[in-house]
Amino acid sequence: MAKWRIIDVTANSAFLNMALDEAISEAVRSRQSSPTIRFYKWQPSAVSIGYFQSLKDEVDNGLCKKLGVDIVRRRTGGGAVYHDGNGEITYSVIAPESFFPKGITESYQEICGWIVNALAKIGIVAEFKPINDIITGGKKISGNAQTRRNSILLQHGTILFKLDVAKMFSLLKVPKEKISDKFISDVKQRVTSVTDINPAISEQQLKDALIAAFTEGKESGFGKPSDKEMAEAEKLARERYSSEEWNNLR
Amino acid sequence: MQGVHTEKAPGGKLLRIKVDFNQEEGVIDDVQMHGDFFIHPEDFVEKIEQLLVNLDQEDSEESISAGLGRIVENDGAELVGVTPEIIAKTFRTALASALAATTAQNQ
Repeated sequence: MAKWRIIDVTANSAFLNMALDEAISEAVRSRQSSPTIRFYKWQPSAVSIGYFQSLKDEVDNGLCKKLGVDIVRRRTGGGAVYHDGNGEITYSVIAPESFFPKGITESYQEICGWIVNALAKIGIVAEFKPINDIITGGKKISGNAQTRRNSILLQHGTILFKLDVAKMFSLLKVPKEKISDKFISDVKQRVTSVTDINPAISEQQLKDALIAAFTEGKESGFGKPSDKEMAEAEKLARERYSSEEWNNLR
Repeated sequence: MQGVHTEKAPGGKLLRIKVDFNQEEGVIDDVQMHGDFFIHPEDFVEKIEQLLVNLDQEDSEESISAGLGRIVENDGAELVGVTPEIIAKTFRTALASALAATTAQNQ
């Protein structure tokens, strides 16, 4: 069984966060690095959009600039997400595809199961809701996105810790079609966070629960990105993820 | 003229298709697919968009859907949260809206 590398929470720019996922994917593919689970935060706060989304359709660019919120296009599909610097813990799982079920839903279910287990450790009963959400009490608490390239699976996602709903939806343009089949007119009723459910839970407790659940049954050890991964990530952040060309790609 | 249509199937993802219709030449100049769906590999979306640009404007929703289904299967691509049927329906509606806008402008 392969030994997993666990990278503890670091706060990075949106551009470096997305670049690190790509640089680590390449290092895992070329077997220079072990399969990796990374936890991170966003500094400054940022909006990430799905690979197929149109930036101008999804994000209030002017307001983001005014508030110092970065915008980055992910290389995974899925929706636009507001990543508050203090409002969530994000994770990435990067490993050979062969570690996971071949079916997309089944592989989401497996990794999302780790999040469900982490939430259970802090007393929150949640469940995986296909395609890529985790819900508790009918509200979304975690969103996830996956890509598979060169036989490497990358899944990243957020676990909402503290929610500034007003800010989240002021930065994102939420189309009414998206919520129509949920019969909920108020988008603010669709999401929740760990502290909405139990204000006594600290971010440290959430982080500890996530690390415990993600590493359960695995041989693992803490590590850091290698110098080579970091150099490659800094290059990708500079040349791709912070570029207008990439972020306005679609 | 541009026609835009958005669909969200129950349990599926949002799909918005924009069709740019070239009135002078009577051809589709560009098709863009946006939304929170997933396509593996991601750049396969360009192949879908290209197929939609090049098809006969008279093609039915069913034949577009079948054509999309074939290229998805041939390339081993995977669509998650969208289907060839939804893409065909959204495209036809967006194209109809572009053609209607063109007709309205000519009147």
